[in-house]
Amino acid sequence: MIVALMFWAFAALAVAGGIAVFVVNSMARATYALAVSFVAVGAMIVLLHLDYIGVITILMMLMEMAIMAVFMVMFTGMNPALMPMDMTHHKRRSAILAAVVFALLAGAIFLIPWPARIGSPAADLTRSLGDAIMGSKMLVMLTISPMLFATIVAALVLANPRGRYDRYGDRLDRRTADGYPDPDDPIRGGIGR
Amino acid sequence: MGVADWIAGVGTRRVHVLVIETPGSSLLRMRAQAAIAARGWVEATSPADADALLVCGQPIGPLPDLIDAVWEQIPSPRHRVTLTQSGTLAEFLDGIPVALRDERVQRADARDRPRHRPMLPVEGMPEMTTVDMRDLPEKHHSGTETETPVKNGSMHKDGPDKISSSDSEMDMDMDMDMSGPAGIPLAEGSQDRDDLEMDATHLTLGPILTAWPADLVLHCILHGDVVTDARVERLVHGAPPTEQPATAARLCDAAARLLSIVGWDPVARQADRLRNDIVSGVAPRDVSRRLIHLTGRIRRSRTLRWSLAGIQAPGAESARERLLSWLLTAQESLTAHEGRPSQVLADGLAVSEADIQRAVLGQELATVRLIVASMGAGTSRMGEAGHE
Amino acid sequence: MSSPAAMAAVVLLPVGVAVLALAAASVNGAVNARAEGGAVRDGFAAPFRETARLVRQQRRTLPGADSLLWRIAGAGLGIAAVLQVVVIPFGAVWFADLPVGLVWFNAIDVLLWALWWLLGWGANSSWSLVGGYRFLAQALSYEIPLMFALTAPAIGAGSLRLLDVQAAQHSLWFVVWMPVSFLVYMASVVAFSSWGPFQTALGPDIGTGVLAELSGIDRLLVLGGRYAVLVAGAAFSVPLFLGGGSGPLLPGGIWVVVKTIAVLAGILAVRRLFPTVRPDRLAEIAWVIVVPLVLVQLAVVAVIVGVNRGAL
Repeated sequence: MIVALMFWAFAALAVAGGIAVFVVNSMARATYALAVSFVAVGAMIVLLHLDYIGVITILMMLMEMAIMAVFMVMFTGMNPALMPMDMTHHKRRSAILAAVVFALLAGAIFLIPWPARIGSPAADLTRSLGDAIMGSKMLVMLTISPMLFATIVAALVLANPRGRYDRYGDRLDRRTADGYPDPDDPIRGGIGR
Repeated sequence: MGVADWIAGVGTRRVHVLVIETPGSSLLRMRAQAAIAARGWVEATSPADADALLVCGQPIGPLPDLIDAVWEQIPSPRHRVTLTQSGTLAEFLDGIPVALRDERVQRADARDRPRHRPMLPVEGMPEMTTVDMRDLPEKHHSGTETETPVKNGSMHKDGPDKISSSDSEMDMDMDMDMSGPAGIPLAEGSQDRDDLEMDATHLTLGPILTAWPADLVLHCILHGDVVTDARVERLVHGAPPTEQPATAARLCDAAARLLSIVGWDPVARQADRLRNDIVSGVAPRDVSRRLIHLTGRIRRSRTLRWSLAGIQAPGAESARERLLSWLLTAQESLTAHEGRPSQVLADGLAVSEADIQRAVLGQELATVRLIVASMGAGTSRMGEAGHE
Repeated sequence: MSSPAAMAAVVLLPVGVAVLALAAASVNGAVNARAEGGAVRDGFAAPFRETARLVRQQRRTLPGADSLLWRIAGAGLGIAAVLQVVVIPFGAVWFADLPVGLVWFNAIDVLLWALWWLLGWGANSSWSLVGGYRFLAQALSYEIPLMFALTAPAIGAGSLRLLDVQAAQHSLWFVVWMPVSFLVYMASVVAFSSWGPFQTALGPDIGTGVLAELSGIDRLLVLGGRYAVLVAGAAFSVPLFLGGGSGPLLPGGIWVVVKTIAVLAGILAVRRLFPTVRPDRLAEIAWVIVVPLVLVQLAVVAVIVGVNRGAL
């Protein structure tokens, strides 16, 4: 009973947060309204006894919203970051589309014959969920993560407009009087490498 | 009313005083700082942090308006004192907690504070996106580290018992229709060093700023927190005072400022204490011993060397070298101080405005504070020569 | 969590955190007073006098300030501290034993990113904004090492539950064979409290950053909340690296508090050794030196656990 109440409370909070994103006046508020919405979803996942996934969702969403706020303010230019702006486009079309999708999903939820539960839930729900989703592909998962990280790093390196030759000169030999490498950076880094 | 009185009593045992130095009154300011430290009080770091305002010397030029604007930003309970001679210092300082505890006066003052401060439009809007603070004395601006909001926004006050200030991060927009929150116009963009369009913010690093030379005003244009353009302005000094601070005191003061900006609090406080002792007349031998100890600690510190690496004082000397030379010169001055007339000072070279501007361009705000702090004090051509 | 425990948690934990925060601020004040030659007694009394002063002071706001976000962020610091402490087991007593207590702590310290940035943004003032953004720059530097540092005890104990982590240290505390993790963790605690050498959000070189426009009760909440978060981080290190409530004679809960005080004393003592680290300097060091070190530590821990089939 309490769980059901909490579920509906979090659900209402998530929807309210989502609506607030489009209603509030500034990008910072929109970002943090979205954060509130995501945290409510994470809390609902915790209610389903999927503790690890729920808390990780909360963690990731908070960190992402903190970074996203910076990018929102950076990229949306002067006016929308701070002033009331109508961020909705194609109002009629999207309203109709949203209503149709909602009807489809709600209909699916009620009309699909979901299987009845056999047995009881596993002791460690997170582990059994992980096994079910990834169990046969664990080796692939383990290999992919360092590759993803390497891709991110490589993309950053490639995107940097200044390369080694800009920093160290055409022969990579720019040094201080003491022989330490002396890169030509606008702001000096911590190691001065 | 007993509890409120008790809280007032406890709360006024540690007063935060915002010390404002008018150019040319450094000895007065140092004496005030020594007295404040002796009472266990604290120097305020910003108007929001202050209970009392202590102006050292008689302000002239644009300073009276700036000081009034700063006074407006100090939250109640507050008290204001102008100090023109050190004889009255103790009595003024004693009066501060009494005034702060005086409920009737403070409540009357809080009631009388203006709520709405409509901003007056600027006559003759310049084409460029810089605003000269001196031309707008009627604007509600603060002399501290804020920009001057321009144009015809109006400043609203939030709630009945709060005060507003004129800080804003966005201003200066050519298009008068685009106004931002609270009516303050939004910023205009320009290309930054990576060829992205960034908003250009106008920030004045004003004369009223902690650990900042009292006669220097730096009007900056920022992209984010990187200074892309700076205009240096010097305030005129008043009538030269009868007494100048000792060389050692000035140098310890400069060292303490640089160390406090670097953020090494314990060592900065030791340097402060040395300055306070010199100005209060403690035996030079005692001070000299502690100064040697301090210099050794600073020289040995690898983290300080790393933190200050690459920071060049204007005039292309490393900031750390400057710091060490100040401390060494202060030491020399202390050990051989039998009334030697004007000695050559380590920072005696007057730093020109072009030097400052060149040193500051392209640097981040925190680095700018460090660079200016490593300039030392008394560096304008009209500054005091050091002699005892 | 039963009802009496819930009541106790709601009252005891915030009060305990507040008391320890006040004590830490007192000792810090005394250390500062000693350094500048003032009376040490004044230093100890400093936080009480500051509290009294700030309670009497008016609040401020600025035109265009986002007051809602600004005030929420100020109040949020203390709340985040209490949320972090709620999963710590105090010997035989615990308030909320989450199966993923370690990740919960990590989630709350990420909440601090949002809070410090909002404190900077909400004020609509240049120096505050710079403080908030610089905090994010610093956070990007310490967060990855922190996450890896938190993984080491989880590997050592084979579980994310704090009771298990505590139990796995019955023969040897984790701090002994995971020293790099411990150091990185302590540095991160100081960093996310924006205190001491990592006081980026309110650094003196940016005119005290987010504190520049705060006064009155808001300033008190931020200054107090900062110490509360420091206390919470120190307290969390106890079940993580220092064996939790284990110790002779006294009950486990008391030992947790004693060890927390010891860790706090260590932090306060070490503060005077370093000048403030600027985030532009920190970034290269964190990514190029600290991350590989922490990964090596993780590898060592994993090998030990694999060979030993459990913790040492």
